[in-house]
Amino acid sequence: MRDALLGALAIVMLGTSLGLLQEQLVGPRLELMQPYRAPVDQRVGLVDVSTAFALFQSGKGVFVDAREPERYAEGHVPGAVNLQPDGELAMLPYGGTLVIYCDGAECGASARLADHLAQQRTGKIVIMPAGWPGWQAAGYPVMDGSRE
Amino acid sequence: MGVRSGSRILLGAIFLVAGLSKAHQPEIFAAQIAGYQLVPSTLVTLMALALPRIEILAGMGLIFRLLPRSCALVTAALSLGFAISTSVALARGLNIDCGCLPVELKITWLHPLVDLALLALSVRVVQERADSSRK
Repeated sequence: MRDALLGALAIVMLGTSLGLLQEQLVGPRLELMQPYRAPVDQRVGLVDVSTAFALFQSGKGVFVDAREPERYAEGHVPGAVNLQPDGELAMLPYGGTLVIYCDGAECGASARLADHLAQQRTGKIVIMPAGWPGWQAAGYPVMDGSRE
Repeated sequence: MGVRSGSRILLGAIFLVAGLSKAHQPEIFAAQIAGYQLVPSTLVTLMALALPRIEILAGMGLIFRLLPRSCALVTAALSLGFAISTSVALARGLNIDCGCLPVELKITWLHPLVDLALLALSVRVVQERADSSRK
């Protein structure tokens, strides 16, 4: 059994060495011994409105409304923070999944803000492509901006 | 080909395919490992580079009968590790890619069961070799 264990250890060490060697030969694609940070496009996911609503109900989602302040004032997801793609991130709370939305699949504000956030913040970021129209159509809770 | 050889070669083929599918895209595998939120972020890169090669070596060793007991010990340890990590991820409600095969698969409770089956197969290969060496 001792021989088998030594052999297993040798396989692990050889596999690790081959991985490191290949990475050096092919060209570094990853930074060794540095805290791993996933590429932006892999850190930003997409969620449908029902998944976003589950995050809303569980309190695990921090909703970010990427629309203009006027549109936000007309109505938004309760508790959502209004933040433009070039806005000040300090107003965003830490923790939870950031759920970004704008005026639907055609508006690019969510993607631009997600890209900006992914470079500044760690943690999970998702875009709700259906946006505000999809949220309203699903009949989920809304906050009329004039009542805040 | 007997049942013994069959289980050894099957186990080897599974790990060889799994390793080959991940070896050429370490950046994607690294993202999948990070998704489990179990490994310190400084070790994610090293694991992404090492694990596929270890799987390939163990898989080839099992298929070609090169240090089969050692290779089966490696696959047993990997299977146990995969079973634990997928179970923890599922218990924490994570909806992530398993990072196990060349297709995109979200983890389900089927994964730890398959991992435990691979663990059992690995233990069987270790025991078979031990029995045959005693005879």
